[in-house]
Amino acid sequence: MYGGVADSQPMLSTLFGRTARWTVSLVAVVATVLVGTAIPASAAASGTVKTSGTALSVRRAPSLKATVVGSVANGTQISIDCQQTGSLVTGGTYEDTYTWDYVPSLGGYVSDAYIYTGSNGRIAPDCGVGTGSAQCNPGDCAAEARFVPGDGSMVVYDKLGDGHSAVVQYWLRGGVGPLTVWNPNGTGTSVTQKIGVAAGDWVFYRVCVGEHGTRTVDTRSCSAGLTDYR
Amino acid sequence: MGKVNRRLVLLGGMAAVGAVAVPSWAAATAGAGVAAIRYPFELGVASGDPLPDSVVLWTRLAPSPLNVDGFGGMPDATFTVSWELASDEKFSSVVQSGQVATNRSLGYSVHVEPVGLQPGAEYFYRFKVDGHISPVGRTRTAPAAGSTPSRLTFCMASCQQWEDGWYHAHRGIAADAPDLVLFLGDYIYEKPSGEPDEYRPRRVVVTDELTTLALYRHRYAQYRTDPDLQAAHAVAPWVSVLDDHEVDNNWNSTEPATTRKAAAFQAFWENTPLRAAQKPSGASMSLYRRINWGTLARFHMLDTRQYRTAQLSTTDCAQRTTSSRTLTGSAQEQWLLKALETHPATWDLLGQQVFFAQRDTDGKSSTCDDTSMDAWDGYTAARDRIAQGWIDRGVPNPVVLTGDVHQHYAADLRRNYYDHSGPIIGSELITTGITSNNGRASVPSSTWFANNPHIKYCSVKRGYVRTTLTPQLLTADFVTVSDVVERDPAKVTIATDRTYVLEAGSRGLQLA
Repeated sequence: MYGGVADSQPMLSTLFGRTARWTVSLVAVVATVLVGTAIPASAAASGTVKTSGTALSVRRAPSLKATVVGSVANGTQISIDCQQTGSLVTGGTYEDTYTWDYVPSLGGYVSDAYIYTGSNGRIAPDCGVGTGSAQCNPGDCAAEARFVPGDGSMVVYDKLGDGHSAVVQYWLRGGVGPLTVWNPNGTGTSVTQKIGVAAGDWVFYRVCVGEHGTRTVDTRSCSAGLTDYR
Repeated sequence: MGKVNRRLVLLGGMAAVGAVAVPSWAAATAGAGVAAIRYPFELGVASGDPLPDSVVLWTRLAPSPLNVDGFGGMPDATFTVSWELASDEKFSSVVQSGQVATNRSLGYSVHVEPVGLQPGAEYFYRFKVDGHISPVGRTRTAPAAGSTPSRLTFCMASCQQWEDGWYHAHRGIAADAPDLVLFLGDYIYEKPSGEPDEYRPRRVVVTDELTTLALYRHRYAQYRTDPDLQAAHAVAPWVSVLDDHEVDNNWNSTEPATTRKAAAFQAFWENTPLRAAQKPSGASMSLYRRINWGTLARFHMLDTRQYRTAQLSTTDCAQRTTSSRTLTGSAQEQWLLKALETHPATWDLLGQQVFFAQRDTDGKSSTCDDTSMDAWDGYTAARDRIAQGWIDRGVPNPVVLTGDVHQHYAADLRRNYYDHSGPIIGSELITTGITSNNGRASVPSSTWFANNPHIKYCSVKRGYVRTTLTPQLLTADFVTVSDVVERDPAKVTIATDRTYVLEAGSRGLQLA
């Protein structure tokens, strides 16, 4: 059901004024139809929850293994800030998909397989738009992490009793990194720490497991990483 | 570090805080609407390859510079970037402006080649896209052909493994505000550092060896997040060549696979202020070129990687003298020798990658496990052809400029290095690394120096070489950094460790 961009997308070229000297323009046209139109980083899209009738799980991170943090009723209209590639969801209302929709008002992610958006493609920007995001590490989501842009804090969750600690590695503007936030407190706990990202600046982060005693991060265990903004 | 340079404070400060610091006309776009992209000039600005009427202006749009897809967080669209070139840093006197499009196929890089500029002139430039304004860069054009500049200061840099330390040396280059910066290779490394943890104050995101365009692009972006590197780019035009680690350790004409070379070349071009003439076509790139500085100097920038014969093993000593072995390829060698037939400038500078002078620990030609088979020592016939070439052509003042080895050296050149009393035919300045290997190696022994008496000096510290040319004198300051693992600039000294001079018309470096 490829149908292009949802109606709420503003035309980019109208977003900018002109100054006397500079002619500002954004040519939001790409070579092929399949690639589609540029999605502005700040524009939320809307969607509607479509299930067989049951409530849809809201998860902390874009994975079926991630912690369920709530649910949302069938038919609910939602505002999608951004979309993120996560675990594959099959047998949903719509096409099988790796795409998860981040809905800040619900506190997490819902699978795009159950959301009517008017498109099987992306309808919102990649996550990392300054309204928060979360990741979990591959496999069983043994470690989960959430970035809170409001106060620039990182929340690190240890979800699995695997004998390892959860840890976030992050890099900041200025050529620094990785800095780390450890959660050595065991299964079911979380650690919240402000990470020193300045207002307006970016943070690139990923969540991994590691050995807190030796401060060794198993970099092979890390999520792919994404950039978010305070 | 000596003087405090006002310009560095301005440029470095802007690089650090982005668009916020830009005054006056910036207000005209503030509040004009929600931006489609966030501030995209996270990698700073740069310029390069000055001609008398032109200089390349560069930037790359990357609001999320560490994204591992290499696209820096840019939406998949074509963006039109505006640029301005002015004769003053407040842009009250804009001399040229224009627009240029970029997209994924260019890695969102921008290369502008304005023409019709004044020779030997200082300029300032900046970019704008979607209401975001870049930091300001300072650049300059080369003097007119035949003009007689009285002075040229250039800094030489190489080998900046991001993980091995902080770019204090680039801070020093920015403070020097030279006319030119020569980057002689190993701008990025294709692999993480092998240094111990305590000597790696920062780490790359991707620990796998780079082989794809996406990851090469990503690696350049991570390096370019460094504010000191950005400041060094913003202060002067760079003349850049690559060495091995922009592609693969010790690569040559036979390896690695052409797909990997093509990816590495494309990312190198995208992330370097080079002209369209240097843009690669697959696994081929025209990188060797000449930069002229009036009657004062010529920079013959060489490519000793792309065309070189494969390296010999250290048991193949005798084959080093085989005439078919080449570092430059025959076309480049002829291009160089042809140019050396005429002498339009006082100083002929061969900017290149690997050690030109002989380094032979035991001083015996029969062994070669004590030298570098990746350097000119592994290609002695090719070295002889170039050295004899400049002798035969009466080149007035040949000087080779080198990177690669992570140590400073000052060397004189001979036709036969085993004849310690033979004539000196030129000199070589070898710059240490900006960071690579931290500077923890040992200085060669007195025996080594006795076997290599043409080599005057070695420092194992990190740093750069600052060279000043006049029609009478070359002055080379070997600048060292006290510590690259320490981040705090207040705890680090950047100072000239040794200065050598070379008088025009004479041979042999002298202690200043």
